Amino acid sequence: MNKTPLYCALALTLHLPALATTSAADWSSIESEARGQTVYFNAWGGSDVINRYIEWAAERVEQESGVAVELVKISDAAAVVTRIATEVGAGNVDAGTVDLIWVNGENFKRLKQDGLLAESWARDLPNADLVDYQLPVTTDFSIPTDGQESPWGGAQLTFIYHPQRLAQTPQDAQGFLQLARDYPGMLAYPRVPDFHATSFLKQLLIELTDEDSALYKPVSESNFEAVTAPLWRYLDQLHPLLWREARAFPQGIAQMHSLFADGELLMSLSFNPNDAANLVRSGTLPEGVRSFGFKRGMLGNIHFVAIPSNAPAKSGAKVFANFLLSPEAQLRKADLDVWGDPSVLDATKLGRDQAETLQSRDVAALPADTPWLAEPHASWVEPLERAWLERYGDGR
Amino acid sequence: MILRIASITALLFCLALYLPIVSVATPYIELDFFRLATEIFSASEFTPALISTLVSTVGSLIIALLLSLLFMGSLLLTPSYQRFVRQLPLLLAIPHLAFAVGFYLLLSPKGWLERLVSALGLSLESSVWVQDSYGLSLALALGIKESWFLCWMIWAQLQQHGVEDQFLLARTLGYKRAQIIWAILLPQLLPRLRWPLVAVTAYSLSSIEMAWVLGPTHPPTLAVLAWNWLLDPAIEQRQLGLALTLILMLLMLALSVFICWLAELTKLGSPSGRRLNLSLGFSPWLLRTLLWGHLLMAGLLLLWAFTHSWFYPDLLPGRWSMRAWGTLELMPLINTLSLAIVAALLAILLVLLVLELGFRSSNWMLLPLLLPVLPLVVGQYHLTLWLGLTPGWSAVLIAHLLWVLPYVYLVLQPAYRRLSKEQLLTARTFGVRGTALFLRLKLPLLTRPICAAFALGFSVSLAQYLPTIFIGAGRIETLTTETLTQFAGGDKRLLAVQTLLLLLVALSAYILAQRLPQLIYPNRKAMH
Amino acid sequence: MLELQRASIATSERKLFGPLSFVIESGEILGLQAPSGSGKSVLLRWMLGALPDGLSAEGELNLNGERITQLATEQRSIGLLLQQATLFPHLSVSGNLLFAMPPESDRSQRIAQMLKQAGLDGFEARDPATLSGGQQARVAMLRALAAQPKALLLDEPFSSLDSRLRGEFRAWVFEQIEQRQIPALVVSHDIEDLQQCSRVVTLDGEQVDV
Repeated sequence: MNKTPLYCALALTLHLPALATTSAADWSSIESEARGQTVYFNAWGGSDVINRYIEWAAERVEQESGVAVELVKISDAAAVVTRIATEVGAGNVDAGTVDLIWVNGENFKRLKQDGLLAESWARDLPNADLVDYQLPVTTDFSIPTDGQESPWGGAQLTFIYHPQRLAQTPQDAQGFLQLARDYPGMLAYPRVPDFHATSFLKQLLIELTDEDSALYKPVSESNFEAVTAPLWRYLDQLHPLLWREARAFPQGIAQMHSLFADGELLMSLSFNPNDAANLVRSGTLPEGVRSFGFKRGMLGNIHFVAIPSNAPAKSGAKVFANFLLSPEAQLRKADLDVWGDPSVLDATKLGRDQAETLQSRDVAALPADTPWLAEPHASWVEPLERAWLERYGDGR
Repeated sequence: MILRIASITALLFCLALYLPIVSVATPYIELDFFRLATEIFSASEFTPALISTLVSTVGSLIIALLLSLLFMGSLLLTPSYQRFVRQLPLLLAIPHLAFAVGFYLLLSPKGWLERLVSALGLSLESSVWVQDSYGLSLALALGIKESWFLCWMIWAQLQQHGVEDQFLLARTLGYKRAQIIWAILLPQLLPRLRWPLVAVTAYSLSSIEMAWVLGPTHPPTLAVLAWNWLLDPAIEQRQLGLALTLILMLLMLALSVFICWLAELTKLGSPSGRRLNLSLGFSPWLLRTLLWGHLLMAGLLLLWAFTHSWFYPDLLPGRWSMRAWGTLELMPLINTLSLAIVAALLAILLVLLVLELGFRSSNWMLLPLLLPVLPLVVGQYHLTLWLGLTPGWSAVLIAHLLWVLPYVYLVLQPAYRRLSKEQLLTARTFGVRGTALFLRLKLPLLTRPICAAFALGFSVSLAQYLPTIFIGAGRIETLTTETLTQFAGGDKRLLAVQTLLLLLVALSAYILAQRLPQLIYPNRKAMH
Repeated sequence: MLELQRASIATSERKLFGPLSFVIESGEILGLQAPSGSGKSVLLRWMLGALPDGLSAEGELNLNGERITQLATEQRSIGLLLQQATLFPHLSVSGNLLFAMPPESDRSQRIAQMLKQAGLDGFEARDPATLSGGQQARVAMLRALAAQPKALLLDEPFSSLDSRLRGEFRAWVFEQIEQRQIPALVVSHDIEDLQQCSRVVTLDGEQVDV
């Protein structure tokens, strides 16, 4: 079914009220400044589906506002953060190579800490009023966003499996360990510092540690060793039972999908709760796969777009970020035929049809009632990764 | 006169281009090297990375040398020899990355080979056939790919030094091929293969692309480790990366010394006169298997490119689709072609102009071939920062030139030297000199070598990854960078499509370069 | 005794020569008179079992009563002397000879003797590249003989030497052949060379008088 006319109609009907809630003068001056600018949007390029969505959005924004958006595919946001830091450090304050970056968590923390972000702007976007503020959109891994990044989509860690190959899904970390004992060599997680891997570690840590509250404060305020000890004990038991005895790790989520699809692994991972359905549609996974989560809940977060302080096309970036928050863009993003990424919009602020579309879940997706576990404080990520690399980084 | 000025300008330009070789030292001057080195040596990833690096580098060298000696030695003086030598340029034109991807599709866990084996009712412990922690699969792939290059170098040597007659004489003296290769061929070839062997080692040591696809991941080889550290957000890690790059240079130096020593080792003791009954009968089978393996890998690429879904244990895709082809973008193709064509042409022009200056030897131009890529790219990056160049097409072009120039020189220099002095003298007696002589006589005479140099320069630019990424700030996408992005992305269908495109462009350039002399001079047989 | 029976060699386009037959007795030196390009070198290579690419051959070759037409080169025990000495450049003079001799005791003594008899006393450790043309040719001959061949083929072996040395060398070579009583075939277009042979034939198989 061609949904384009629907999206266009929505865009037209919803755009007008949105304009009314923001200071029309401010926003229209930003819009006219943005016209003709080129925005270099640095985003993870490892998914063809996502790339095509972004290219669609770029075309739409060009049509509507005359802003040209260039997608710069990256494989690691940390490298781009480094580049921005180098540029600003070398005195480049308004001619940076990055105008907008898809970011969250520890990368956002670095950018914010080092003063590399543009001043608060996200709340001023016209479409910011449509966002669901019940979702964790104002803190990113427990760090306040202060309007320096605009929410884009939601994510929740999800396990994908095939009911024909696995009858009983594990309910928690211990169940996972038992599954590894029953099927040695058939489970895996990607290599740290892939963000799926780090998230898996955080998921386990939240469950295994005795000091939950410490995780939501900066890591410097706790005894890292004490808090994480149960995790390392668990992994020491788990690793010999994993794929290739953990002497090698799948390089990324895509390789995990591939191994899972070919039957080399029993499960795969994703950060998109709708991914299973998506992947079957695209032929990446065989039919019949399903998603599940642990009983206590699965790690979830929001991903954002941020503007570096030295971006030359700040107005253009804001206009694009605003478009990304529009119902047209968010609905299309949530469409399983397109990307299936959960939206950040508040369904109650939209019309009934759109709300239904937004909230519908495919049968293969993560059950909607899976509890949402909040992300630990961003400062925990790097020490976790370092500790893991130190213990297991050489393939031992 | 014009020619003189142009030549001197060209020389100065080349010297400027080669500055990174010298400036490669500058980022290291500020480092506290010994402290960093100690930290690197005690890092837990260092020892396994060092082992896998040494295994893949030295292993690939040995495999390449053994294979090339085996094939050339067993085919010499047989009818298949000429046929094989004629196929070599085609094998050389295949990009390393395309070969690696094909290798991966064939041998990865639940890859096609494992499916074939299970279809035949056997089972295989296959998860260690690629990306194994000791770097053996990397060594094998590199070894096979580089063996064609060494075969080519051996062929060039054999042409010059009448070794074929020696081979025949040794056979009449009662020796079988295997022994003749060891006792007669190897001692004479090895000293002359020194620099090609060093070039092969330099490539294996610093290859990031091949190591990503086939090398260990956990931890990776030293080159990939250095690359990861250089891109790390933390400045201490970046310093470690620089230090590790320097360690790589030193390692390269040590390996070069080792190779030169090995080449001299061929002063064997006195021959014992024993005729050994070693058979090389397996050699034609091995060669045939490898060549058919190449075709099989190309076939797998084609299958995956038209796949919608294809899961183990199927030998053919379950559902077909053209969707993957729709994801191809025009920009990488345009970038790749424009960079490669301009770089090759520019390099040819520069090299010819420098050769016109008539120095006895400009072999310093070959230097980038003998050095690992990563330190040079780092040097180039710091140079571009210092000069304030914006990352973009021109910067990437200049970066590519550093590697295109040596290969173009490699082809053009001997051809230039071999220009018939008599013909040039005769032309001079007609009063044709200087620029006119260059344009109207030398250039046309060099048509065939120029076309060969173009093909080679094109393929070198095509294959560049690190310079494109580093100097281009990720803004310039080429077929090679796209292929690696797709490999990281893990969708085999998109990967296959990109790799096929890469392969097609490479082979087209090669075929065009072959045909070009005939197209330019259709009625002049001597020019073909 | 070396016997050639109805040998003919052809390219894909035309026949080079044949059928050619002859018999060479032990100690006899047969001269083959043939101009360049007629296929004489090709004949020798076929007799050695190393027919060049693109050519086809018919005929039989017998050595001391045994049919060796299908035998591999290294098993035929037929020695070769080429126009260029083609010594192994990475081995010394004695290395070249040691390579050819079968493994036996007291080889170095034998080598010393051989060199002395050839007028190359004390040349054991010399680098072949430092020898004169005549000296290299002599070492090449010694090397061919050191392998104790049952027959010897010579492809214009004297033509690269200047005329002074030529006669001397030729006489010495023919002497060695007669001493060892092995059949030998000398291919040449030089009248003097052919005059020293027992008989001379052409590629058409006709005996000629020189």
